[in-house]
Amino acid sequence: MRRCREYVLVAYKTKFSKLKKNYDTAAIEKALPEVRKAAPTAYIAIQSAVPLGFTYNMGVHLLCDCIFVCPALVRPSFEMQDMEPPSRIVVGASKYKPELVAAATQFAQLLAEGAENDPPILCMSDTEAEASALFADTFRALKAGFFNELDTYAETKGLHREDIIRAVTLDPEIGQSLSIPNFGVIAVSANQLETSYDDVPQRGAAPQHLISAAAKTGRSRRSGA
Amino acid sequence: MNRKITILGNSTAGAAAAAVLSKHNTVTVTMDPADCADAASMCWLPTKPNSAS
Repeated sequence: MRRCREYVLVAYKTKFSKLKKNYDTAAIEKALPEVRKAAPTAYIAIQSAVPLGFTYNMGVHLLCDCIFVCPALVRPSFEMQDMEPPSRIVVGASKYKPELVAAATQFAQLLAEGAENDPPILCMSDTEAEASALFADTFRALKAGFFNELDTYAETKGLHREDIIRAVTLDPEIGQSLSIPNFGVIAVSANQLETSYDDVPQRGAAPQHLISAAAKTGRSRRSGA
Repeated sequence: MNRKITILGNSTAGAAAAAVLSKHNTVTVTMDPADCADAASMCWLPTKPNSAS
């Protein structure tokens, strides 16, 4: 059994490529073989935003069982605030590789021990962990987009938006987070998730409609600003 | 047991993770200065190899 205590955290920024309709992961794909060459026994944690299935595919491509995913799960511009007292720590590794699962869990524990709180650690498959990051980010985009559209409506009809927003968000199930209208944020994760739904068959009220709306709302708000 | 963690990349989230992991007495966090300079400066981190004491 391999005794290894070394980790490499791959944390490149990834942009959404409109051409490829996917995250541009070229920097990660270039770095991984170099990491394997420089530190062949190290476990590699991918923190970057990646398409669904990327971690699994890289493991297959590089013929190695040492890559797991540890998504950042932080808000843009609030990385430090969200990382020091994280609401949860998610790691994803193939359940068929128990040694890798143990290494991923240990890495999560290191992050948890450095945190100011006592966050829950969630261990799941690599693709499930990737999906968790995309869905969480897309939900934030949806909520922000909802209040942007409320703002547009109030302005058009001459209504007082602050009063409406306060009345809506004092409902504890809705909450005040992300309720301040803004210029619109390009929801990169929503774009990526929209692509991931391409091979999902529509059933009744198709979830694709919501995901597509999250992807489009930021774009339309910015173009109208 | 001492653990070595290397951070590669230019994301601020990576630098934030480095800051959290550096709190451990038994963890040595190394950031690639070429990759991480901008991100580390946003998180008030040194870009030289950092061994938490």
